[in-house]
Amino acid sequence: MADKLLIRVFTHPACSGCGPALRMVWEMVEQEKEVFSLRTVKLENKDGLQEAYREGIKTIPTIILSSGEKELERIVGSPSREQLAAFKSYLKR
Amino acid sequence: MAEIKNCLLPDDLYYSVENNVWVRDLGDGTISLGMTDIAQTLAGSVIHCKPKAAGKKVKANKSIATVESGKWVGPVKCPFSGEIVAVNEQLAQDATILNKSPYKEGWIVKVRPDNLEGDLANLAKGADAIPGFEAYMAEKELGECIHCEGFDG
Repeated sequence: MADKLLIRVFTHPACSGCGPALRMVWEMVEQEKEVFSLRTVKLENKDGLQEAYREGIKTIPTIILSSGEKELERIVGSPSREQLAAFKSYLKR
Repeated sequence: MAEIKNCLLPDDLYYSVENNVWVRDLGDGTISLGMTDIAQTLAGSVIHCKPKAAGKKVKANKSIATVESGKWVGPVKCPFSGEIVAVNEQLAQDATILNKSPYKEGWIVKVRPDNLEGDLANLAKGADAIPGFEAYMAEKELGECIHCEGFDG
């Protein structure tokens, strides 16, 4: 079986849009557990902040879909249902 | 608006790089003061902000408020001597205003400086503060400012 696609959600406690964004992503991942995995990157932690710098994150929430080392999609700001649904298009490739 | 590594510095404000605060001349002999974008980024999510009471005298480069975040507790220092004339009561309800709107809603105190003109002359205004903050950010190993969606710079 192929590796799962990774979804990273970059968050911070001071970000009011981050909780709802994380919930939306989590709900989608729950429906497609076989293909997606979810990781929350918390910017209040030093490691999380360093990862955000490496990825060039300037606004949170930001959601990155990747396959291995390759970034497939990036959503900056609160996602719409449609934007997240577009992630599923990668399941058919 | 001046910008360094995604950190915003409004042009109309004065900055004390050493204290990492901004100062706005309110035109009536008083100033308002708050944390810079750089300061709020370094602090992280602010949990509490407790300013000194209105009417208190402050000395230059001494604390006018204590800020507690998830990873830091420390003073916010005023570059001037003077008297606190008002405090931002909103911060008691929601200190994350300091993260969301550091330059507008997130003012901490208003102060009547003893020597307003002389004091302002010692601060850097707008883009003139960039070299100082660049060095400050390098010292603190701060890569970039990261803003919440809806950040009100």
